[in-house]
Amino acid sequence: MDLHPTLRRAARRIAEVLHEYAATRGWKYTRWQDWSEGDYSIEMTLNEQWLRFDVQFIATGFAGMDPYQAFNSVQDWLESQLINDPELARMVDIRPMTPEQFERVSQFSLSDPDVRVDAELIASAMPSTGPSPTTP
Amino acid sequence: MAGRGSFASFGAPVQDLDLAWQERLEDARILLAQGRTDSALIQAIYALEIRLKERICRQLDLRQLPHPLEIHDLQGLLIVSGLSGRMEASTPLERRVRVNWNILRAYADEVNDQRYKPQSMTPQDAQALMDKLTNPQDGVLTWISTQP
Repeated sequence: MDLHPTLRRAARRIAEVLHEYAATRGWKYTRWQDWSEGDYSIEMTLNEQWLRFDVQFIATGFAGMDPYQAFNSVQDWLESQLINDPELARMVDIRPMTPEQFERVSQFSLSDPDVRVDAELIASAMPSTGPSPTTP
Repeated sequence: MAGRGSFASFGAPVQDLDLAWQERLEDARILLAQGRTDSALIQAIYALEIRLKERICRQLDLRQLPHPLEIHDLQGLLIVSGLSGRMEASTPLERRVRVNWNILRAYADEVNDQRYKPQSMTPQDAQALMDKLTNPQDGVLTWISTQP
């Protein structure tokens, strides 16, 4: 399903902030299906009924970290980067996890109201890549 | 006559909801003690869902749950309960509760599929999930009970 342009822009901005977080740690992005080629990946769904983005931020760098510590680290970054857009920050639920943890939860089906944000959009939000001509 | 889906049509009485969430939680504890891990967690998720519905009724001063709120979407129930914003606070406790909530919600997404699968959760994993719900410090149910 296609997202409304406003929601696509919101999803892209969230992905951009997470790419920047990863860049500060020197992590290399990869799509989940090409996991062996990188250090982190982002899977995002949107609950359209309640306008909430559920983001699974998968990285080997979270291994050995306390889940609360990992969440605080990413959430603090997200809030600081979206300080001028607190409403967008409030729309995001971040779940930092390792690839092993993601493999366990990725078998879960999406709940009914959830729409998956396409990987192209997430990849196009990388700062070095710049905006894709086909992406609003 | 008001149809299903109308706010003029009501479901379970709030007193039943109050008893039901506590009974589902007790069921979860009994099942977990007997090693029925997946079934225990399903009951635990039901307890959380019903607890939120009970709170919504109290907050809105309703004697019964309106049919439109007979949903299983925990995210939506949290928002309608008025607790979503409070859970987003940056205090250490709310941050911990939010992490626990996110983990439980991910598991809840699986509950509907779980009934067709053999048991797969280890007792340790199941206990860890129960702890995220009932831990006296930062368990989600514990936290809900402390909210005005």
